Amino acid sequence: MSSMIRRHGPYLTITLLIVFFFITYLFTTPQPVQLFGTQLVQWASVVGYFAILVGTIDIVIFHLKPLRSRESGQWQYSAVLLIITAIGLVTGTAGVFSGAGINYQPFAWLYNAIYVPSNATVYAILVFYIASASYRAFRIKNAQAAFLVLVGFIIMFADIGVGYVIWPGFVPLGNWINTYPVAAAFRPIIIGSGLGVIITGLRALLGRDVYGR
Amino acid sequence: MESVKSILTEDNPLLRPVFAFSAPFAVAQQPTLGIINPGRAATLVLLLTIFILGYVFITQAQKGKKFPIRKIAGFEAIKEAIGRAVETGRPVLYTFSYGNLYGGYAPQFMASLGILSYVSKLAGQYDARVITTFGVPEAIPMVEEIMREGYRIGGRPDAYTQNDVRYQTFEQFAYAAATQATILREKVATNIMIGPFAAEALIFAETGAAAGAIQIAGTARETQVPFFVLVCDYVLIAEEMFAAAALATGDESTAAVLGAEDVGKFISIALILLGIGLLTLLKLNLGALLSI
Repeated sequence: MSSMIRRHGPYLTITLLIVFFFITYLFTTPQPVQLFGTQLVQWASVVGYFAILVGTIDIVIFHLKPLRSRESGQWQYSAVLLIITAIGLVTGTAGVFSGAGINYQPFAWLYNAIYVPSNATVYAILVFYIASASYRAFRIKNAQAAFLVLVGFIIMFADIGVGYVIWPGFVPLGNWINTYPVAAAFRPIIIGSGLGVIITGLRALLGRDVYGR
Repeated sequence: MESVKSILTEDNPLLRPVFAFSAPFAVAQQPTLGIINPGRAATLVLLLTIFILGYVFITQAQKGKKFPIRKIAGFEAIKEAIGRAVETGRPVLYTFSYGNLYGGYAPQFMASLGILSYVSKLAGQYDARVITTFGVPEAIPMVEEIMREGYRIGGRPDAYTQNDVRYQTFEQFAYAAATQATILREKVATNIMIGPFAAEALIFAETGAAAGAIQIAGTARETQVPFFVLVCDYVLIAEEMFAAAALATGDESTAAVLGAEDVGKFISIALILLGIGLLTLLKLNLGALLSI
């Protein structure tokens, strides 16, 4: 019996939850039932925050190894990560006890002076990758590639001020391309994704998401 | 009686906690009309149709009926890509983006985890090393279990190392930088990226290209598909990713569920055509035309 519960219990629980959410989404249900559904979603968020704690412990364990073994080319990075994690933890906890929360000055400084610029730097790298990807896309090898380049230039000129100065028609033409051909290309992807999600859900409901056969 | 009623109000500070506690269980004040929520009848019909059809397809496949399933190039290429990694003696990188398992992108994560199980099984069979990087903290035990199980089924349980399951952080660009560094430092031969990627998609794809890796990508985020198509060797576009997850089960009767997805596509196309037709007739002012 216990092995039955262990084997089928999670599936049964998940199935019941999925059915519950279907009912609250599709049918008119009493307010307490709807609120219970909302609370379940909030519980999931709370569990998710505990998972972040697990993740942090996982990261610390992972980076302690190269630090202990002085792994060449890695231990320095691991040391920096662990030191920053420790400082963040200490200042964050101090912020909680001081009552200032995330506005606690040392913690806020860490966020504004280290996290935000670092984040922006990695995001900025994307510009160069886009340029590199554009170079790949805009190599005119055949008629299709030439057409792609033409459309690319129209969109580019529609989005930059100088495009309007060169020819005012770039803006409406660019808008038309985005509204009709681009939307027509994206919609099947969105519809296909939606259907794929339904099928994934059905497999989960039927207990057929078992891998490794 | 009136005096009692005046005491039993939310304004009474003593009763505020009681009202706050009971609020979630309060009976709806406004009456609702009908059983189905407004605007969701079509969703219900479509869901029921696909669910029933999917169940019918699976049952028929279990009885021995064969359904032709189109080969998905990106899924078929996984074997070749892992084989190449073994030949070159370099690892395979599998990454599936950042986020959480309770949001709108959860189905994509689940599909990706399904494909990861297939990849880890092949890695066990071919004796390849697979490094998994991700930014979904809830997925840590799942990924560890999938990888361990995959290597076991593949015949090399001892090849699994926990060190190669790398949760990196749920912060987008920190995760992007860490995975980018993994691609370069580990000199990966195969870069498999399947999941709901955002701006980091191109960072990974370009870094993988710079490392000379064979690249297989998959996402249902339509804005990232063009980047993957540009840079990667194979791309699982939107529903192909979910289909690949069904194929990864290795069970033909489970894969038969894809038939229901095709029916869903036909229904969608029919509805689009119907919508175009009706809108056109509306624009042409059908009433005026009929009165002529």
